[in-house]
Amino acid sequence: MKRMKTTFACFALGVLTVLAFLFSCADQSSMLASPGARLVSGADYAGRETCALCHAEISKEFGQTLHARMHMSDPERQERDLVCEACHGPGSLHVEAGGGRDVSIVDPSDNPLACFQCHSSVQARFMQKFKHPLPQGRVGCMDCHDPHGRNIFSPVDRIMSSRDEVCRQCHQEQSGPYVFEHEALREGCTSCHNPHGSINEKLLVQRDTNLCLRCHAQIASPGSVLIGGFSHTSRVAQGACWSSGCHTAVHGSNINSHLRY
Amino acid sequence: MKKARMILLISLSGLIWFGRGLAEEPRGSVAPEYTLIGVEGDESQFREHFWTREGSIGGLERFNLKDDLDKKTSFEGRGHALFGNDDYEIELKLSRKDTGFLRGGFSEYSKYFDDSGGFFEPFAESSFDLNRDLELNIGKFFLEAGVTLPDWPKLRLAYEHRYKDGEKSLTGWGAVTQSGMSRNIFPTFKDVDETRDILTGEIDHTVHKVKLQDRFRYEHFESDTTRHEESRDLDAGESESVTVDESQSSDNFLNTFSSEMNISESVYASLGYFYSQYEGDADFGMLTLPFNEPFDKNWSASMIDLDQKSHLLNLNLMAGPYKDVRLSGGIGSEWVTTKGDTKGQLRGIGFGGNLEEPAVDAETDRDGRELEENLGIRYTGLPKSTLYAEGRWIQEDIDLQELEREDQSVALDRSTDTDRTEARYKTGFSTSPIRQVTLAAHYKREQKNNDYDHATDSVPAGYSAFILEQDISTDELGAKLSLQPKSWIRTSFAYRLVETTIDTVFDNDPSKVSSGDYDAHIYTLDVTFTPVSNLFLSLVQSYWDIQGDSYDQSVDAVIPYEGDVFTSFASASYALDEKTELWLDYTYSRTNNFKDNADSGLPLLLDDRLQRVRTGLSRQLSDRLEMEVSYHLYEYAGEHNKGINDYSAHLVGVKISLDF
Repeated sequence: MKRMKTTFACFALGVLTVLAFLFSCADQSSMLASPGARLVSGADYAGRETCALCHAEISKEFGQTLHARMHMSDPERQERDLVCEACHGPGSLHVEAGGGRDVSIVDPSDNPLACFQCHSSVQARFMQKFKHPLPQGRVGCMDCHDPHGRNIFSPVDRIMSSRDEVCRQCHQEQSGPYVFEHEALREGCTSCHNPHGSINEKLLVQRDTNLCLRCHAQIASPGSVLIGGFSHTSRVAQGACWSSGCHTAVHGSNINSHLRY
Repeated sequence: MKKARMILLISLSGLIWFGRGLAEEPRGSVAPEYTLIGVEGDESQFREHFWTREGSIGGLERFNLKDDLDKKTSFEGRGHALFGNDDYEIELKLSRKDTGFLRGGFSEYSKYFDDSGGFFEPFAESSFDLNRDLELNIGKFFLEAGVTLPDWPKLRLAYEHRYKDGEKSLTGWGAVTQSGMSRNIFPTFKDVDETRDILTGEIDHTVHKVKLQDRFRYEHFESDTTRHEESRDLDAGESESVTVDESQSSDNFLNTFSSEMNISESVYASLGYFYSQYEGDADFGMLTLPFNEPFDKNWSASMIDLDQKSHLLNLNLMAGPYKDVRLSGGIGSEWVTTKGDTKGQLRGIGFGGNLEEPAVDAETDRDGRELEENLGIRYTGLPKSTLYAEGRWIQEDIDLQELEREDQSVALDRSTDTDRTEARYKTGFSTSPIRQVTLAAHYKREQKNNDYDHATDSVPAGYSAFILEQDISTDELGAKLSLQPKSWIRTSFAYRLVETTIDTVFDNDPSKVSSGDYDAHIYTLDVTFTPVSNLFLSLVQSYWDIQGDSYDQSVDAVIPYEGDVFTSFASASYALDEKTELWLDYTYSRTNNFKDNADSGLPLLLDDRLQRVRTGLSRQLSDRLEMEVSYHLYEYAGEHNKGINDYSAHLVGVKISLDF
């Protein structure tokens, strides 16, 4: 894997070198194009004020959103005011057509590319083996995130704002409540799951016993695993803690305080 | 039945469109598509990775329609229907400006699961398959109506029926034993039959610049699941099955009332109150066959009651901008009570082989109170830059009473008082000193502390309340440099360092020990390159360097988690002429964290690679007609399990897009 690291480092260095060369002959009239620029071909930027004529409420509240912290005010550079079009793409054709959903405009709820242009590490997550079906178009970024909201972790039509409420929308069976809860649920679903994508089944952060032991392993003599005062040394050799009836009810149990079944 | 419902909806939309008299030229498009997928190797693994079946898949890849019925009324329809892959979606909307709207739709898709379990090379039979097509149908039907009359309260009422039906795999595998050695590798699965009926309503109105909003939501949830586990003894040629039936029914009512207003030109305030009530009941049944060995269990519970109530009140203020400074702050309080009650029978065979059948009565009562504060500041006074800092603090107190009786004798009596605190801080900046350069960086710290006080505990040492205190700390440092030296090239390079440590005090030692840690270095490179007007190239590369430890590193069965995950996505599109485009993309994902500890444990880490190549040619046949042919190659290869899940797959497809 060292070879892979070296290859990656060399590649990154190579790209930066090429860029350094390109900078030396940079065209000062070029514009730092907004990420949405290539999403609507043939369209020009209309500007935030034009968008506000029809989308007054969203435009007014934009300053209160988390995304607004990436916006830099600079009156000398008009492209800075391409707040809406940074994600939705240039909107001139949309304006000419009189508006309408999907009419010459990017709807990030249908097109994750609008989000991936800034969140490329998230895009890479969705290329791993296990992921929510975003690349297949069966869910959208806005099913879990509200880009216009003050809380980015809330879907648009959510009733209150807790991150796990987002997961509960589709995974109620795992959300409880339970007679005997697993306290890990208080730390949030993302303690154990990578919601965007993972190399592990069920989007697990880790597939092996380390996932449990990092919270539950007690000090023991070398060569043994002690959990709750009981030796689990032979148990952990068999596989993950939640296998074969031991602690199958990882989210919580209605029948056993040790989360068996 | 579901397909019939789909066809009915499509027909309905067609009738609406054709029957309305074609007042104006409609605008829409339709894209029939046919694909043929062939898989060599593990078909179920392919299905799970790419959410698609092999074989023939055809239908409408998309259709959409927008038609102005008159000057104020419009009809919109969109969706897709791909037969062979059970992938359908239709959404119809009829709206009249300043009057209201009616919206309805249906969607269904399938999630596929691999039916193999784990892999253990030393066994005579190293892996097992269920020989089942594990498929879960996930769908919903919805109907929504709204009133948007000017100067009247805005109203919205919606009904939604969601369902999941089918079978899914589980990662909790059954034991396989050979020569006295057991490893959990036998695949397990679960039958799922789940429905949710959701009624939501919303009313918005502005009175004297105060925006008032009330949202309610009622949910009825029904779930019947059956978990199938199996254990195998390879020496004796015997197997044992455990079947767990669970059913659950619950009603959940939630309501939020909120008000928002601009107190002055630069001060915004909001106040909200949330109430929810959950009432649920469930039952549990377990059957072990054959039922004759020590520790075999046939537990059952015919009455499980769960109730939860929650109140939440919050107040938020935002002020600014005052000379480039914007301030925000909020405070919220939540009170949650949860009661659980189980009555059942723990029928099982004891250590000595004797049958035990205690009646169990378990009651839990949880009372949680939480206070949350948040504060944020954003400064845009520096030229071409934004600075920000945010903080969030949570203090929570949870009282938990647990009482479990077996045949009237107390088996567990515990009272736990948990003090829980959480603090999150984030600060960062974004700057663009020259047109071609943007730099953003942030630092984030998250600190959680759980302090458990077991005032009463009938099991004073050990299971299950053996954790007395736990700290979880995460530090994250991130930076992203975006460059656009020329209009035709844009690139960004991002780095993120995440360090998580878990420190715990256990009941057998008063000192705080580092029980776990997780470190990740994440590098992402993104390049978009358009050297000539008819060629577009892009590349996204990401590399995760991960290390994770838990305390018990002296045991060979538990090995540190060390992993390299490399993901790359490259795409190119080339316009051969004004009407013809050739495109190609390549995805590569490589994982290498495998360690062979089969002598002492079950190897669960990975050494594998997943690749996909897609290419296609599209041609504009006329102003309104476009045709695309495509070919995809998929390949998965895993060294960690000697290739038992390997596959290669080929897809050929043709799609025609027609604008009308």
